[in-house]
Parts: sequence; C-alpha cells; structure tokens
Amino acid sequence: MKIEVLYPEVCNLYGDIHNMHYLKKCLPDADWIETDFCADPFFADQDVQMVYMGPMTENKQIKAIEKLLPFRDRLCQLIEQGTVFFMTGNAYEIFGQTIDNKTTGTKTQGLGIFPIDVTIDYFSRYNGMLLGVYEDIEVVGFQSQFSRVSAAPDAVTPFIEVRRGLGLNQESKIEGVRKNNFFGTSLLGPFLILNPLFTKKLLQLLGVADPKLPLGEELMRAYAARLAEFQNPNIKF
Amino acid sequence: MRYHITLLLAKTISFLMRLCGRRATHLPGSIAIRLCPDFLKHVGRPKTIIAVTGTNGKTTVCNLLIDALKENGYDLMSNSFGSNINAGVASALLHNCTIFGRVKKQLAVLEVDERSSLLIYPYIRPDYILCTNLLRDSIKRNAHVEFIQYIINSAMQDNAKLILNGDDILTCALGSEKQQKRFFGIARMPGDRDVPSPYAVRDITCCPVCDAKLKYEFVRYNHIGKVYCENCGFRSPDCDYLVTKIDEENGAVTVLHNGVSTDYKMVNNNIVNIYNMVAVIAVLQEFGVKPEGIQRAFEKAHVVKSRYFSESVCGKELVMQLAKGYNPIACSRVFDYIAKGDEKKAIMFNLDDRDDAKSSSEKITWMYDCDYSSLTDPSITQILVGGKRRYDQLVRLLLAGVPREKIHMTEFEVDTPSLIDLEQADKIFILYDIYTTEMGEIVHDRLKAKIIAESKKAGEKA
Repeated sequence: MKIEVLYPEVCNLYGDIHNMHYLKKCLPDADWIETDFCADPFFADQDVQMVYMGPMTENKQIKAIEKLLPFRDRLCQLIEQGTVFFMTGNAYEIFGQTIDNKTTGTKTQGLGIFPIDVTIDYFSRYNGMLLGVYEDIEVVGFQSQFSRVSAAPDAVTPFIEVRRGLGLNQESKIEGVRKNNFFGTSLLGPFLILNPLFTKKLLQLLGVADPKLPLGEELMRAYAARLAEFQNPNIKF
Repeated sequence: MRYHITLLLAKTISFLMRLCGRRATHLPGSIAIRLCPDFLKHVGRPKTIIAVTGTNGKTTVCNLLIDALKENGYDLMSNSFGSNINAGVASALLHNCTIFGRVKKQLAVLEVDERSSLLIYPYIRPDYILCTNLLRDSIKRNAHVEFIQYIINSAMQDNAKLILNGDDILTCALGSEKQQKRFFGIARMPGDRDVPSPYAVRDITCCPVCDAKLKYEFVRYNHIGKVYCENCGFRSPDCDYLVTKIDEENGAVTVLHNGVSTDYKMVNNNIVNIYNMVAVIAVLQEFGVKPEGIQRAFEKAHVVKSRYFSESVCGKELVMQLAKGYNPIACSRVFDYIAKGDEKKAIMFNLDDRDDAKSSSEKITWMYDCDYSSLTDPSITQILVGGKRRYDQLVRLLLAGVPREKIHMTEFEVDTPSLIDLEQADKIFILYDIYTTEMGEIVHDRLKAKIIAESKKAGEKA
C-alpha cells in the first residue's frame, strides 16, 4: 500500500501531521511517500492508495495551487477511481474554484475540482469546536480559520452534517466536501486520534478488514470524554 | 476637544480606582480608547519608547530591561503591571501624563502583544522595537506565524530601530529595507544539532526567496538556528551581539560585539533566558548604556519568581515552572529543560487551560505541535497528570513513547501531589500557566507538606 503525504514540511500547522504519524502506527507495512514542496507529486505517474495534505498558511495555499495545477487532470482521475484523499484544515479549499483574500486583495483561481468558493478575512478569525455526524458515527473536532466557504445549494456532498459548530459558513449546516473517497474537512488537529471510529472506517477503505487501533482503548476513552463535553448544552462552542 | 475630555475622564476613573486600591492598569485605557479611538496618538508621548514584542520571552526581557535601566539611573515608565494590548499601553501612558497632558517620564519600556501591533505602533511610533522570536503560539490568539509577521510588518513605522533575533529567520524578516536592524544570537553550542529534530515543528522550512529547502549550519530548537539556501545563497544574518560562550559552572555568558568580548553574569541557565539576556544587552547598548553598566545590572538580575522558582525541601528540589498552555513551543522548551540533568525527576503535569476547563472544551491541537519527546528521558520517573484533559494527555504521552507505568492521573490538578512516589524523585517540577498560579501554589504547598511529613516519618523510624 502506498500513501503519499503532500508537502509535510509546509502543510503541518496545528499538529495535523500527527494524523499521519498515527496512521503509520496503524499501517506499519505501508509505503510512505513524503513529497517536498519543491518536488512533483508521486501520484503524478504512480498509483497510490491514499493522499494526505494538512493545513497551511494562506500564502502557501496559493503556492500549493501553483504546484498542483499541472496535475489537475490526474487528481480528478484519482478521485473518480476512488483513491482515498484526506485533507484537513484549509487544505481542501485549494480544490475549489477561487480563493478571495479580502485583506490582501488577492483573488486566486483554485484547482477548480469542486464548486466551492473561499473567502478569507484576516480580521475575522473563527475559533470553535464542531460536533457532527458522518454516516453512523459522531465526529468531534476543532476549527480555527480565517476562511468561509460558499457553495450553491446541493452543489457539493458534505463530509459532515453539523450538529453544533460552524458549517461551510455561518448559515451552513454542512461541513467539508466528500466525493467518492475524497474527504475534505476544515477540522484541524489530530483528527484521526480524536475520532477513532472514523479512523477505523478510513482503514477499512484502505482495505484493512478488521482494523485494530494502536492505543485503541485510550483513544476511545478520550473520545468518549470529549463527546460528552460537546453534547453538553452548557458548553460554549 | 474629544481627546481632552477623554483624558480628563480617564484620569478621574484611574484616580478613583486607585483610591479603591485597584491598579488601574487596563480599564482607564480601555475606556479612553472607546471614547477616543486614536487616544494613543494624542496622549503624551515619552521622548524615547522601547517596545518589546515576540512570541516568547517578552515579559522576562521587559523585567530585565527595566531593572537594568533603573540600575543605570534612568527614570522610566512601563506597562509591566498591566496588560500588553492597546488598553494596557494606553493606561500606562495615561498615568505618565498630567491632567493637562504633560509627560512626566521621558523614557518608556512597553511590552506589546504581537497581535496588538496594529493598534499600537502607528500611534506611538516606538524608537526601538525588540522582537525576541516568532514561534508557533496559541491557535486561538495567533493563528500562525506568517499571520503575526504580516500584522507586525503592517504596523511597523520606518523610524524604529529593530533589535531582532538573528537565529530566528522569521523575526529577521521583520521591517523594511529602510530600517536600521541589529541582530542578536547565540553561536553554535554543544547540544545543537546538524539537522532538525523530527519531533519539533518548524514554521519555516523553505527559502523565503526561492522556495528551495533550507539547510542548517546548526539548529537549536524548532526553527531557531542558522540557515542557508544552497539554491540562491540566502542565509541568516551575522549577529551584532553574539553569545560566544556559556559557562554554566561559573555562571557567566560571554557576548561578542564589535570585536570586543564581555562577560556577564548568567541570569538563568535555560537557553531561552540566555536569548533573553543577549536581547537585553543588545537593546541597552543600542540605547547607549555601556557594557560596565549592564554588567553591574546583571549582577543583581534574576528571573522573576512568578516564572521560575526553585527551593530545597528536606533534600528534594522543588521547582515551580511556568509552562504556558496553548503555547506549544514554550511548553516544548520547558520539557526539554526538565529532561536535562541525571537526577530522578517527577512532573506535576497540570496544563489545562483555565477558562476552557470552566465553560468550554480545550482545543488540544497544541499538544501535537508541542515536542513531548524529551519526556521519554529515563531521568523522568513519574508524570502526574491532573485535570479535565488527562485522557488526552495520556494518549499524547503514550504516543510520544512515555512508558504507561510512569503516567498517573487524577481528575483534579490539586490532587497530583497525592500520586507521587517521593522515593523515585529527587527533583520535582510543578507546571502551571500564568492564569493558574493559584492552583500551582496549592500543589506546591501540598507537595511541600507531603515531603516534610514523609521526611519526619523516615526520621522517626531511623
């Protein structure tokens, strides 16, 4: 199994790289390819089972688009054929149509793979938590972002149905983007450590029949404690 | 007119608050800015303003700087008892002028929160801006370092002379080409690495000129070190004030400036405090204080008790150590400091955010930006975790490789002393945040009582 981590030296804000550190413990026999910001992606001419990218600064988003644009068609092909993509924080925003930075006055064309538009305002940062549902499991996570995403009604399939917290934007009750096995979410931090039930599903998509999570008990205990907090109506989101 | 009415009102509020025994270090300034948004532009400006900013070390640098300036006969004002945002600065400047707006003291040392730069610098136009470092900080407050860099650069005025950490390439990038810049740093020391630690996050890895991967002459921690780019020749600047020797045995630090080496008494042996020292030496010399005057000041200097305090209790060393929660690099430095030395150590690991614990749920992403690898050092025999986030800390510690049997947990921080096996600890660190000093003191007192009681019991048996 080949798993490509895109630009880990740059796309590593907020501890998200530990998603991959943890997944390495789950998949000790997988081949890990870490692609530098200066290099062409491995997926360009090789088959991979999964591609991961974590959150980055807003300047790096623009550069990441430049670097991935020549491989846009290949990305579309991989998404269509069901390759697992896991994008955390603002990584999935670069797959949209535009990124409009209101503070710096720059508008950048995205990869144009999903019909979403992103607006950034450095003086309006959202910090919060999210409780949501993916299929039959409850998902917990953290958000901290300058961006808001807009999409036409029903234009995208969401990753998460939001129970509490911010969706694509203030009015939205859906969060992230999902297409086949592409999972894009604004949630950041060690998502796979925070959400062991989702991690199991991800491992199943990667072909692990009956996944056993390293430190599974400890992860479940922390997850249960957080879930109870997030379900408490008195907790400020 | 608006300013004068605001000044009068804010002065009155300040007077009444002080009459009631309050310090009036925030509210009068906050009201003044609300009533007169450009209050800072009008309020009496001291002739010389030294601003101190940066992610870590601001308060320590300010305290050392203020003490050194006073020792050298300067009469100055500061915001050291108040907040470091615009309201705190406004309150400090307000106190420094008469009801008619005349300035009392002509020198100011102001600690400035990085995020508040835009609300402060354009109005007060500091003469010197010292930046200690720019590192990953609270996700809630500071987002990421590029954002903080953007904020500071947007606020910066060309008149300011910049005193910058030459070992931090992100700090070096502050300011414009028009500005005078002086750099301070520490030469390569034993323990510095050729390549970055795989466990430490770095906020700059690519050349700011050509995007190629940066190489290191040496790396000290996170992205702090000396970099160069093989592709375009970009490199860290040479330091105008360079620590060339750290003599722990004799408690001395040697600083090279303009070809002359001068020894100073070491204030504290933590590397972050050596940086704080050389930063203070740099700004003082740029301001005109002679090295002899700085040497004299450092003879009396120490890191304030609220940040670090050590005492011996019945043969055990008890250390109160500030470890700012939500600040991954500050905590990483503390963990690294704790791991040094061979004595058996225990840690009262109480790092929950006070406000989140009360009414929200802490965003624990910082734990994964923080380097926990030092905590696997065999000299650390026990990690006693208290608080709501104990299950998260357990997972993080286990993932870092700390053996399960060394970790003990309890629901309440103040109960951590009950978990300790004193036979397995010669040195005990009590970690606390700036907002949880009270809890830290309770833990300290309970621990001290336990040590004394057990020592007494052992004495009776003998």
